[in-house]
Amino acid sequence: MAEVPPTRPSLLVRMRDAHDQQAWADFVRLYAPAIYRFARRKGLQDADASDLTQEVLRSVAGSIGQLDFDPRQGMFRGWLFTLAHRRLCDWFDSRQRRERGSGDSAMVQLLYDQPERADQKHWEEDLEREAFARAAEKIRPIFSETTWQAFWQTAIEGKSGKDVAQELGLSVGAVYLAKSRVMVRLKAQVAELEP
Amino acid sequence: MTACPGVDELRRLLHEELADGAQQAIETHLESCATCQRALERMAAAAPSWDQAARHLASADAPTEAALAKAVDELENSGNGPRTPADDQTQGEARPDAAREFTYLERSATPGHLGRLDHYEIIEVIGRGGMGVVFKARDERLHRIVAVKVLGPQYAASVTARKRFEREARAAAAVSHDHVVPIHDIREIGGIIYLVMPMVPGKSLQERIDQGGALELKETLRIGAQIASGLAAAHKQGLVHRDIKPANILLENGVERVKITDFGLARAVDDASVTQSGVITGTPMFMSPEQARGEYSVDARSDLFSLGSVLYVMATGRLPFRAAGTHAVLNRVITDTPRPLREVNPDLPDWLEAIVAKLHAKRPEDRFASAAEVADLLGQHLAHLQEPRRVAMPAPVAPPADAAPARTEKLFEGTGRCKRIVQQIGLLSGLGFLALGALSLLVSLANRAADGVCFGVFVMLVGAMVWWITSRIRQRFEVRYRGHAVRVENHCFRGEALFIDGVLVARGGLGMRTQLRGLIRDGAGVGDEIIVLCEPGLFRFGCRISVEPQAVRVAPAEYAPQHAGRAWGVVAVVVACLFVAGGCGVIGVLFGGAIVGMLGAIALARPEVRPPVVIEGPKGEPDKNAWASLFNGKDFSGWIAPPPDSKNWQIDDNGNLVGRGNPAPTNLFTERDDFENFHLRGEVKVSPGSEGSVFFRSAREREPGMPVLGYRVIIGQGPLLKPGTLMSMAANDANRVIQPMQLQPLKDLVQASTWFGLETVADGAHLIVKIGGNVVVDRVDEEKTHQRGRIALQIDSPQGLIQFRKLEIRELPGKVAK
Repeated sequence: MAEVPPTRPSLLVRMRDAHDQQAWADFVRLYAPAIYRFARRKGLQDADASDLTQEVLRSVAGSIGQLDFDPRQGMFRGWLFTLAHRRLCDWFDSRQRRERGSGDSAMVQLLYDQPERADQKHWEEDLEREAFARAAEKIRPIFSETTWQAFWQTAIEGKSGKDVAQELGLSVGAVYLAKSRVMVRLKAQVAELEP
Repeated sequence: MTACPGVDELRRLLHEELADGAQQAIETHLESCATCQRALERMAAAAPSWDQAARHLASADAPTEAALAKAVDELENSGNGPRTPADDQTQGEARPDAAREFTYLERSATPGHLGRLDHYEIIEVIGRGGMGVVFKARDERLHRIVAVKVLGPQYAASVTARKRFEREARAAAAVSHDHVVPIHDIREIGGIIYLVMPMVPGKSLQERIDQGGALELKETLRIGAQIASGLAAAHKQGLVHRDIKPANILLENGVERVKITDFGLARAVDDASVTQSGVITGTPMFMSPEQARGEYSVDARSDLFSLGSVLYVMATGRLPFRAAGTHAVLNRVITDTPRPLREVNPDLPDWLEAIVAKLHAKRPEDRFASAAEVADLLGQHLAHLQEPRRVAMPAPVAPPADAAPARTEKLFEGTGRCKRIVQQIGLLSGLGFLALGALSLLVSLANRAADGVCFGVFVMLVGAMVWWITSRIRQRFEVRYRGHAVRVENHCFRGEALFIDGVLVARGGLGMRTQLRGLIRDGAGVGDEIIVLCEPGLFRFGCRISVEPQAVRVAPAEYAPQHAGRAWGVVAVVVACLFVAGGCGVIGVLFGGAIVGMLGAIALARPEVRPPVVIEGPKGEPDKNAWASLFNGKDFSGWIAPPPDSKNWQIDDNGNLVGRGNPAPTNLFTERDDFENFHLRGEVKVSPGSEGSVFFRSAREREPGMPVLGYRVIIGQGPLLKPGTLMSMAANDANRVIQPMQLQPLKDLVQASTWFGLETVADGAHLIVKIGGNVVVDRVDEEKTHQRGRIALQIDSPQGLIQFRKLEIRELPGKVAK
C-alpha cells in the first residue's frame, strides 16, 4: 500500500530556515503544551511553568541549526524532554539555593538525573495529542463541513455509519469514503508535524 | 450486489483518482458491503491510528490554560531563529526601514545616521519603552552626545495634553541632583515632543537583576540609599516620580552610581493615555496600593512603597507581588502582604525585612515620613556593615501600627519521634550486623573455618536486609485542602523527599531543612498558600502545614508509617532464613530472633490518626453570616417565577420544591438580585433523563426566548452536558465552559431519583462547586464575567422533573473592602 508522501519537508527541517515563521508557530503550538504540562505536573505554578516553557523553546530556537537528528528515530522528542527536564532541575536548584542561601546542588542534580518513567509516558502522550489536534486544525478547512462531520461523528464520536449518513443526508458509502479520506490527510499532516 | 472492487481501485478511490462514474459505482457498492467498508478504513490507516485519533481528538477541545496561552503567544511573536544583537531593539539599529518608521526625522547628511531633529543628529536607537523611543544623538551646537527621548504622538494629541506634559517635564528639569538624570531641554516640533538628556553609559538595575539575580546586601543598601536620596531631592520640589521600578534606575558604568530617570513623566503619560483610551498604563508590579486603586492624586509616599518593592527585588531577586495578569497583580498590591524577606532568603537581616515591611505599609501614613529618612537609615546600616566598630547599628524600625496579624495560622503539627528512633536503631543495628559479619568472615577465612564463613555471610545478609527495610519506611501526612488531597511524605535515610498532591516538589539530603510554600495549584485564591516545613534532624521528624486564615477547611487525615503492613511478609522471610541457617549455631538463632522481634514491633506500630482540624474563619469574628434558608417549604415567598413558567413550579406534600419542564426551559428566580459572595447549599433529586441547572450571580430574569445569564452549574442527567460542569452564560452568546466535570465518572456523581447534596461557593472570582460532598469545580474565573445577581433554578429538558430541598445560603464577607 502506498503511503501518502508528506507534502512538505518535516517541521524540523523547516525550522532551520529562520524566515519560516509558520514553522516556528507550528513548532511552538506543538511543543509548548507538553512542556508546560510537564512543568505543571512537577509542581510548578502556572506563571513559572509558562516561563520555563518559553525558556526551553527559545533555547531550542537558538540551537536548531546545529542539531542533526535522525527523523526516523524520534530522537528529537527525547532530546527535548531531556532539555526540559534539565531546565526544570535548574529551576528547582536555583530556587532551593535562593531559599536556603546555600545549595546542595550536586545532591539535587543527582536525585533528579533520572526522570520518572511516568513523566516520559505523559510527555509522549501530550505530544501525540497536540500533533493530532494541530493536524486536525490545519486540515479542517480543506474539507466541507459535511465531510468533516462524517469523519468526526464516525471516527471520533464513534457513531455508526448508518446513523451519521441519515443525519447528514449522505449515503453510507459516502460517509465511509469521507471518513477515510479525512483520515488519510490527518495521518499525513501528523507525520509532517513529527520531527 | 455488485462484485467487490479490487485493492487498486479502492486505493484510487481514496486518493480521488477515479472518474466520477467509477467513483459513484464503488460508493453504491460500499453502501452495503461491510467488507469493503472495513478495507477502505484499513487502507486509510491501521487500526491503532484510528484509536489514536479518536482518543486524542475527543479530548483536544479542552480549554487552554491562560498561562500556557500566554507562553504560546509570546513565543510566536518573538519569531524564529537565534537572537542576534541586531534583532535586539536595545542595541544599535540602522536598518533602512527605520527612516520609514520615524517619519518625524529629517534626512541626515551623514550616511548611516537615522536622521535629524532640530540641531540634533540622530545616530541610533538605544531603547524603546511604553512612552516612546530613545535615540543616541549628537548635539551639533554644544558638540556633545546626548540621549533624545521622542514621545509617542498620542502624548501630544491635544494642546492641553502637550501643555500639561511640558509643565511636568519642566518641573522635572528643575531637579538637580547627583542621582537624578537631568533634563537638558524639552522641545516640540511638528506636534512631536522630545526630551534631551545626557547619555548615561551603563545598564539599568533591571538588566543587572536579570543577568545576576539578587544583589549583595551591601549593594542593595548602597543602591537603595542612592535611590532614596534622589527621590528626597525631587520630593522636596513637590515632584512625585510615580513609576519607580528597576528599569528606571540607571547604573552608571564603572562606579555604578545610581541615576533615576523618567521623573514625573509617568503622570503626564497617565493623563495622556487616560484621555486617549480610559486605560491606565504603567508597570503594576511596582505600583503602590493607592495607584493600583486608581487614585489620581498620590503623593511622595507612593514612591516610598515602590522603593520598598525595588529593595525587595534587589534583596531577593524576585518580585514581591507576582501573579498572572495585570488585574491579579493589582489585586495583590492592594490586598496582599508579600512574603517576608527572610522567608525568601533567611540570610537577610531582620532590620532590612522591617524596613521593607514599613515601606510596604498599605496606608501611606504608616510608611516612613520621607525619602530622606529612608536614605539616612539605609546609609547608616551600610556604614555599620562596612565599619562595625566605628558606626553603631541604627535603632530598629518599629512595625507599622496596623501591622497585619500573623499571616498564617498553624493548623497541624506532628512529630514522629519514637518511630524515628525505631528507624535509627534499625539502621544502626543493620550497620552493626554488616560489620560483625564482615569481621567474622575475615577471621574465618584466615583460619579456614567453613562454618565461620557461612555464619559471616549470613550475618552480613541479615544486616543488609535490616538496613534496607528500615530505610524503606516512610512517614506520611495527608491533609485535605479545598478538596485537593495534599500528601506530604518523608523518606528517611534516602534523602528527604516531599510530595504534594503526588508531585515531587523537593528533595534534599539527610538532616536538611526544607521549606516550601505556595505549592497549591489550580483554584487556590489569591494569597492562599500552603506551607510545608520539614525539619528532620537526626532524631527528630516534624511537619507543619499552615494556610491563611480564610482557608475553608484543612483536616489531616492520616499519619502513619506506610509500610507497616508489609513488614509481616518480611518477618516470614526472615524466619525461613533462620531455619536454613540453623546450622550456624546458637548465636545465629539469637540474632535472628532479635531481628524478628524488631520487625514485629515496626509492623505492630499502629497508624496514628489525628482528628480533623476545621478552621471556619478568622478568629474573633462574630458569626453574623449564619446560614439562612432560601425556601420555606410552604410557599414561594422570596422567589419569582416569570408568568409563563409559574405553573411549572410547585411544592409537594413533603415540602420539596418541584420543577417541571413543561414547556422547557423554565425558571425560578430569587427576589434578591444582589447575592455576591456566598456559600449556597441544598439537596437535589433528578428524575431519569432530566436536565437542569442552577444559576448564580444571574444578571436578570429570563426574557421570552432569551437565555438566562450568569454562572451555570449543570445538575441534570442530559446527554449533552455532564453534571458538575460550570459555565458562564454571557450576553451575545459569549458562553464559556469554565470547567467541565472530569474528576469522577458521571454515574458515581449523580444518580437518578436519589437526593444528592449540591454546594456552590462564590468568593470573588473563586468559584467552587461540590456535588455529593465532592469538589467538582474549583476555579478562579479571571474574567469575572458575573459579579452579583440572583440565584436561579432551571429545568432544561421538556418533561424534565427536578426536586430541590433544604436550600440555604450563607453570605461571605467581600474580599476587597470598597
